[in-house]
Amino acid sequence: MRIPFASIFKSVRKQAPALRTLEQQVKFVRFRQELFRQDASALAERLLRGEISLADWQRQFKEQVKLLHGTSAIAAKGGKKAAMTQHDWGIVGAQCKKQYKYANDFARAVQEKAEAGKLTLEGVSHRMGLYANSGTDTFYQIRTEWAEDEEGATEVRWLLSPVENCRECVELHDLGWISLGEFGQIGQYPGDGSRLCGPNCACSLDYR
Amino acid sequence: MSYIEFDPEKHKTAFADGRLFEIQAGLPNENRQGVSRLVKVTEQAVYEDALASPWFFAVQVGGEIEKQLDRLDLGQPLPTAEALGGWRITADNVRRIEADFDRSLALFEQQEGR
Repeated sequence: MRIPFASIFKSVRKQAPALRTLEQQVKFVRFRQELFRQDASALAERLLRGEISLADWQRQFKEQVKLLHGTSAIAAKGGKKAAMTQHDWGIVGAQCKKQYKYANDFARAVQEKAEAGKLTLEGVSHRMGLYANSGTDTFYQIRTEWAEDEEGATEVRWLLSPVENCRECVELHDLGWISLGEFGQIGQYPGDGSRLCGPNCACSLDYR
Repeated sequence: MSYIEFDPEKHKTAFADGRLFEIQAGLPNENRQGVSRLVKVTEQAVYEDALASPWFFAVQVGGEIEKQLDRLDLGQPLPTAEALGGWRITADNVRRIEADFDRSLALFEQQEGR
């Protein structure tokens, strides 16, 4: 594929040195998820204090979700904003769509609890925080393509969380190094919420 | 094949939720039925496509829906596929995401002592 010189120049110029390696990128994504939890908690507080309406809370929460997935996607490109393609943005968008659906159910639950007088800051903050790990899914979807297309990787392996893991994640880990083709057939990524660990997945991927 | 352009500011909530009901609400009653069908098919077309996004504002339509669109007065001509260049994220969203990335990266680098 031919890449215009201007694009290369722009891409190189805008790369983030702090995100040169996969390890640094993963660290940044985890850091961004922590920021998301803090922002989400602050937003929950504003809702509970009556400073914002439920509709405003819902809108702002979705914006936070969108920013989380967008920044995770850029991190997967090593921080090169100019390297983001429409396809990448499409992955981000599809992720947001999925999370927005959960957020709509969440908003309904919040409204019901508020009407019943059972709304607590801890409850809302905790549930909002569960959305943070979904950024990992976006990151690895885009990072896997980047590894194959730009780094010439052919294989991938599933790395377990150092803390706690569910049976299904252990099964994926036990596959060892597998081809990216096989991995694509499995169609699962850390943080996608599709396994027993649900939104708590803290696994990662490695490429070679 | 034609494209219908959604205004992300005007329809953002409805489009983000995949419901698009605000578009319906903004149309005269006689057009609601056609748009309801459009919404249903559009949702399927958009969200089964890997390129789909809650804030991509161009949705490809064709066949029966294209005919229905021809009968609707949406108040603006439908742009051609060439004019839209396919799927696109709105510039405003890209700007906000990039700004957030810069802010997050600065905080990250600060924490890492860079």
